[in-house]
Amino acid sequence: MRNFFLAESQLLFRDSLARLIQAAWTQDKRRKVIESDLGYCPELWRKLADIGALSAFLPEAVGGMGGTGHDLMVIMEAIGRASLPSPFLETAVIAASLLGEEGEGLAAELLAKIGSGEAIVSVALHEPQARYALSNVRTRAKRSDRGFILTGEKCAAAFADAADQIIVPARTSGEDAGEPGITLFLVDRRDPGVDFEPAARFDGMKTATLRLAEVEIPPERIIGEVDHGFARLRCAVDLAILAQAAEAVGAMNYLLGSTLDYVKVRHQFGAAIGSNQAVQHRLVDMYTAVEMASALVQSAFAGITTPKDEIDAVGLAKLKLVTDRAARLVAQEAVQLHGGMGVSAETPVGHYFKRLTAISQSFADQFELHAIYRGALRSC
Amino acid sequence: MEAFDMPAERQFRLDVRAFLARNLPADIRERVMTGLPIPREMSDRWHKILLRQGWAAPNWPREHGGTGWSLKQQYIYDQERNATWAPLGVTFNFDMVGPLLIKYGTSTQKAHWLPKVLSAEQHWCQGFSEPGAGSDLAALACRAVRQGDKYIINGSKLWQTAAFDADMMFGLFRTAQDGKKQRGISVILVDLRSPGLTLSPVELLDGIERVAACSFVNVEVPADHLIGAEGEGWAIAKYLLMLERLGIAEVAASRMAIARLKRLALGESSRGAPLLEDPVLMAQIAVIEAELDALEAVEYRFLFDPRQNGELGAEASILKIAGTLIRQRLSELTMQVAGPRAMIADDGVLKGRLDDDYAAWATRHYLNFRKISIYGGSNEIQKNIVAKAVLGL
Repeated sequence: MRNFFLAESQLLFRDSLARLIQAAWTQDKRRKVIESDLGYCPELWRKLADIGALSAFLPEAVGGMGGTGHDLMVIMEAIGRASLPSPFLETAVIAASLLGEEGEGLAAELLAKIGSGEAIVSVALHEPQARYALSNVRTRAKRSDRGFILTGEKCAAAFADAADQIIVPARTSGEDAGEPGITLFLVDRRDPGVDFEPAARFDGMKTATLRLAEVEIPPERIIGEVDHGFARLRCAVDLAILAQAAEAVGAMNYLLGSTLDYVKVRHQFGAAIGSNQAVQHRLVDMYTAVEMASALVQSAFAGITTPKDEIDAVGLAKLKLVTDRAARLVAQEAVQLHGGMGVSAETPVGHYFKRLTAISQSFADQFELHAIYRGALRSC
Repeated sequence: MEAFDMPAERQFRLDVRAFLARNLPADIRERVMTGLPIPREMSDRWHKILLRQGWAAPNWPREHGGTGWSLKQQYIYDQERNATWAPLGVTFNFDMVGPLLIKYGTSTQKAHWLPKVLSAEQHWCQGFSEPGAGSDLAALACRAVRQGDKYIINGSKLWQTAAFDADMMFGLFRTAQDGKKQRGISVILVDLRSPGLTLSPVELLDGIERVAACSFVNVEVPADHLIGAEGEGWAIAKYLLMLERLGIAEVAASRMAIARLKRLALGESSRGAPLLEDPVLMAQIAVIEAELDALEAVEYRFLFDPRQNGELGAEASILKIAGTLIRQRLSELTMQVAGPRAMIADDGVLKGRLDDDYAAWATRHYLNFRKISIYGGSNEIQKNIVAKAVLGL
């Protein structure tokens, strides 16, 4: 049996998280953080660690709180509502999921450091030729006397430049686009042969191209089993898709609220623009889209209990279709109803517009999602 | 949403499922599958089966002969009912007039009417809309004037669903002209056989369903047929329209429609392959199905949030908007999948048995479902309600 609704403790956690972020975060700070080399705010990261946000969803075995999906949802919604640029998704969701099955050793140590806020971990999911296919991995890992030697190029690795460690999928056997033969390696940013080229994204998030030139990785830095990394990777990215949908819900809620505020105070032709039925109905469409997306996300998170839970692929594809469509609708309408303010890069609405657009382009697009749905429909 | 059943609810669901599977007559099931209005004979036959089981009024308290089920049990029952193609039942009796009497009737009125509503020996219809009062319901003008122990009614009603199968009407009538138009409206029960009351059929787009145009000429109604206080009918009407929003998303029915659409598309072939494999079709089904998932989740959140105590606010209007849009798109897509065969308006096919081939019904649904975004407060009115009551505009 699952519980659809949040527990009392989760509602309290949501409130304290909102208070913490509200006290520490402003539009001005966001701009400074986005312009900084680091791309996130270490001071706020520290606070998130202190309040337990970084360890909420980690297993108790590594010092986490063993929270459920709804705990993660609460955090992601708060991040989305504040549009907080941070490596939370990479570190506390994807890396945590990838590392989560290791009870001891390096992975467990790293998980503990993630929870305490001492470690930033990035994941190099993408290669230039791969589009959204996680299995399209050309980065090679050759066996050597002392482990593996990695060579290849990863692109758009979020917060790779700021990370202490980067999890890198590389091909240890099999064909270029095949699922078998992928192994996950933990690369240290100081490893000889590792090179970063920063690439800022239009939504202000920091990414980097990661070049690996004969980087030596010892066997203890292999995550999971050699050649069998794909399933774990899929599972972690699926969780990230769900988590990012919650982030989108938070951002959409912000835009709905700020647009409502704006149409009530902005006067034209002697009346608030929100008194026009054409404007009101558009806001109802936005509200409906946010409610539908948010309830669907809440329902999906109810089925998640640990970072390594598998998520039904078709259900997730449909969820992302809905949340991406909602994200674009709400973002576009918010800009439209803000008029000239909406198209200014300096305003929050402009920033949220870009962030939501980026989310709807992340991990899978509609073509990929429809392909997943088609595949499932054909096979039944 | 089965995953959210508590253990006892799970058992309840299995009991309902088993009962429906055992007791629903095949001909009634087939009739429901067509989506045509259920003839009174079938409705009464199924109703007797439910009465014996004690399930005739799922949403009534036990003291009046209802099930006393929780909201969650009613929700589960409705899902299972749809999944087995069991009829909705005499909806105006159980979803409207029963709750109306239970909340606003005097003890005498309850004792007199409720047993007949429950037994369904009388079928009821609703008398709200008029030629000049549709979305603006409070503009209604059909006049009821008190004379001694009677009301004398003059005027018109329009669009009454199921009126030709009904015996009684619960209607909104104007009993006073002064002040705000919402004041001076009263709820009165009218016998449809009353002298001076004439019902004329209005055929809907599908050419099958008939609704009524009602003309009242000096129709006499006993004064004790007034429900609630005279002139206070508007609040009662709002209560009834609020009740209507429960289940208005019609998620379970749309799930069945998607399953039916997929079956139909599997049987149709296009360029040598099942039409179901067409990527354009699949993309459209995917989006509708995804939105239905989301609608189901919103409905669940509205209905069962422990902090809301089961009270539906104005935000429930979005269930009607989203639900009707999904049903309309589904019926449109189904008609398109049925292809050239969907063009035939063969009376024999429509009146005959239902074979597994759904094509013959597809167009009929498409035509008939244009009404669902209009009745019960058009989608535009629903948006006005949300804008005002939820968004504070």
